[in-house]
Amino acid sequence: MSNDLDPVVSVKGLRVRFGRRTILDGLDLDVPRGSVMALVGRNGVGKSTLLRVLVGALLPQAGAARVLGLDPTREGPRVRARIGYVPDRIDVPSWMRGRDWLAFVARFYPTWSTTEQRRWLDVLALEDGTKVSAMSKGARTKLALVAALAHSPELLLLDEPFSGLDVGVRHAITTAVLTSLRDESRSVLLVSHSIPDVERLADRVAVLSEGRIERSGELEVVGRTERGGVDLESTLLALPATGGSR
Amino acid sequence: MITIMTLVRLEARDARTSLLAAACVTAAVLGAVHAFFPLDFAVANAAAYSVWILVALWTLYFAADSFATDCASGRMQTKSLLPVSALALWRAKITFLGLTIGGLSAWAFACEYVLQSVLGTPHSFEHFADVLGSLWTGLPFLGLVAAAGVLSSLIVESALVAMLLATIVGGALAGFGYLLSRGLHLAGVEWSSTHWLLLTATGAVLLMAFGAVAFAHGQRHLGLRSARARVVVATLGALVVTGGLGTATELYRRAVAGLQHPRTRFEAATASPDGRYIALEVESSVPYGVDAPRSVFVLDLETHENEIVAWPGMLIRDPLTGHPAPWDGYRTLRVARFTMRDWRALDEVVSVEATDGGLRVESTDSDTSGPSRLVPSWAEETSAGTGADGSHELRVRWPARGLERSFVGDVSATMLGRGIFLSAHAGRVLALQGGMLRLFDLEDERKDVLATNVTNVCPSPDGSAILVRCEGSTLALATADGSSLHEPWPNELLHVRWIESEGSSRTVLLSQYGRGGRDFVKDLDTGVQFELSIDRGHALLHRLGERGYVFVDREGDLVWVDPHGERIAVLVDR
Repeated sequence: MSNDLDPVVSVKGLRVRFGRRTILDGLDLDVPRGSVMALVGRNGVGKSTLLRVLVGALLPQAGAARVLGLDPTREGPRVRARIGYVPDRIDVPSWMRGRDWLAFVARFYPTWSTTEQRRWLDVLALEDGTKVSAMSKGARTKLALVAALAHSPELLLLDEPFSGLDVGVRHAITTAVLTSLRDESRSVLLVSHSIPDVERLADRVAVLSEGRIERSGELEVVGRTERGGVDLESTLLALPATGGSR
Repeated sequence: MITIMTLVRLEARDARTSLLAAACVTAAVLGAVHAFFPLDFAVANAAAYSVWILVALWTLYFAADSFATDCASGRMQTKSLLPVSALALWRAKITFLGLTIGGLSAWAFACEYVLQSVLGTPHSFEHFADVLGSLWTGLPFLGLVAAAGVLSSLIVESALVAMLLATIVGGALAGFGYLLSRGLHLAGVEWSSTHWLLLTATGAVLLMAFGAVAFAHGQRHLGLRSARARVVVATLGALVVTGGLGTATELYRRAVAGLQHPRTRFEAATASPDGRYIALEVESSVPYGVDAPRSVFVLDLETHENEIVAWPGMLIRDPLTGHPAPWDGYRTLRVARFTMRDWRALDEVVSVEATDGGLRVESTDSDTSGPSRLVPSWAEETSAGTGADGSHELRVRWPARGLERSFVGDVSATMLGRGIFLSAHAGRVLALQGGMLRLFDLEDERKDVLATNVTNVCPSPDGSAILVRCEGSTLALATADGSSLHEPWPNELLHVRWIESEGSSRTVLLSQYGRGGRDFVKDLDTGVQFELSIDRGHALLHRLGERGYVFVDREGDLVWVDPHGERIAVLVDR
């Protein structure tokens, strides 16, 4: 059983290999409850891989992960019932309208609330009567967010959901969603390449490099420069250029 | 359950175009059958087979499409991120597949019912139902097709490629089944169709179970197709390779089990002119074996040692009698070796020479042809083609005397060994014409009637005598002059046949009819007769000139007795 003091995500010594390539190599990470933590790093260092382990979609070779006190490798469906996960890409049947997809997804979540669904549709200003095939990328991202939030998850995992969106839409979505979640003391683990988004939204940052967490902590601490300012981009640029290959 | 039905509904909605197309094609094909087949029963027959074939095709298609398209589009990955177990996703797919096949089968039946109601007769619909009913015993094969399709769709991300792959997998499984059937056959196990259907159904269930394992494994490595593929390929590979190798090994072991194996059956033999070596053609114990491989051993009567010289292989046969041809030389014999792939396809002819140091086996360039013992050295024969009235002509020449005689009649009446028999005595020919056996002399044109009401004639191995089966009795006559060699044997009591040999001996086996019937050897030249405790399940009974006889006794041992029936040795103790 977990309590309010336990981190929502706790990872110890996680190791993932794809063939001969080591992606995660003894990774340790804690995400405190109620925090918005950004996971940053160069391409291919294993950020998305880590999220896939956390939702039970990938079995690690070694190490342990706990999400809301559950082991995602054994209790994947229970973990996924309590979290919201927005992958970088979702594939919805093209014949569906937005509301069809939400109605389909709702059947799998005991805590699904149509009120919450309505609220998030309003917050994100999404018209759910549109066919998914006719939706823009931004609208699809909003649809995925509504599907991930309408069952009031305790933890939200976002895997580059805003990439490819124009600045205005991205700003509107992230502000609306993350501000709302922070107000409700929900936890968020966000993978993003957009440093401005991270600096604007996250209160904690974990920097992933060579399969491990290079630095982790409050944004001001991790991104602090020698001159005393906060510049997360410079921190990232100082990391090794390659990912987790061994 | 609600979760699964929700997923099944989504599947059905996704596949509605394919389902609609399948339903339309089914109706169209059945309509075409009714349009193009003229007779009621022909229509009913064709419709039943069409329904079966269509259902098999739809099974293949929907099974092959079950995971392939979803995995290719990423939709399966999206579904996998819902709070459902891998097993629930699997069960939803299989449930949908089952419902689809069941639904399309019912649709096909309903279409045919309507067509029969409008265009058919009550009897034709009954016939349709009967034929279809008999075809549904192959239902387990549909399961196997479905399993192969589903497994294939886990490996490739295209329904079309999955269909092709499933067809290949099906072929591999059929090959495996063929090997298994041969292995079982050789092991003396005969499976009924029910056994095969049960095996097929079990195989389908097992493949589906392996598929579930592969899918669940893949769900724990989402996005990595190779994870699923590895399990499926390893499963299928292990199944086919292990099963195939095991069966092939057993098949080989059984086939070359050796003379001592209790299931080895002795089929034919031919002895060297000195009688010391005997080449044995054996078949590995197959109760109803018509296609079991045969092998050839050479056994030394002095040392009692034997050696295999051909597997699969056979003794070369006399082109007209079908009996083993004699040895070519004093101690050399030609033996046919067949290919391992096809037990009837000739690979090579080898020469086996018995030397003091053992057997020497060498490849030769020769084929399996050779002279027939039915044509003695004094004669030449020419068979002419069919005439306008369907008649045949056989010309027998005696070149040394410049004599010739022509025999005309139907095919059997002019065939050597069936209607015409050339005596070992030069110039004498026997002809069976209209149930009458006549003896012709080419020198003086004389012809004598030897027997009437003849039903069958069989020449002795050396051609000097002939067994004539008439109505009521069997006669043994000399072919030189038609004289009787023995009192007639009554047909209702005895079956009479020549004992094979390479020398000039003329001995017959007299077998009483019935299960407890006794067998006697009768030497027509010396008059010696003795009882033989022979196992009638083996064709082997061979005379080795003055050395006696070899045969398989009722204990299954290969036994050697002298010309008076006294046991000399047990050559192969089984």
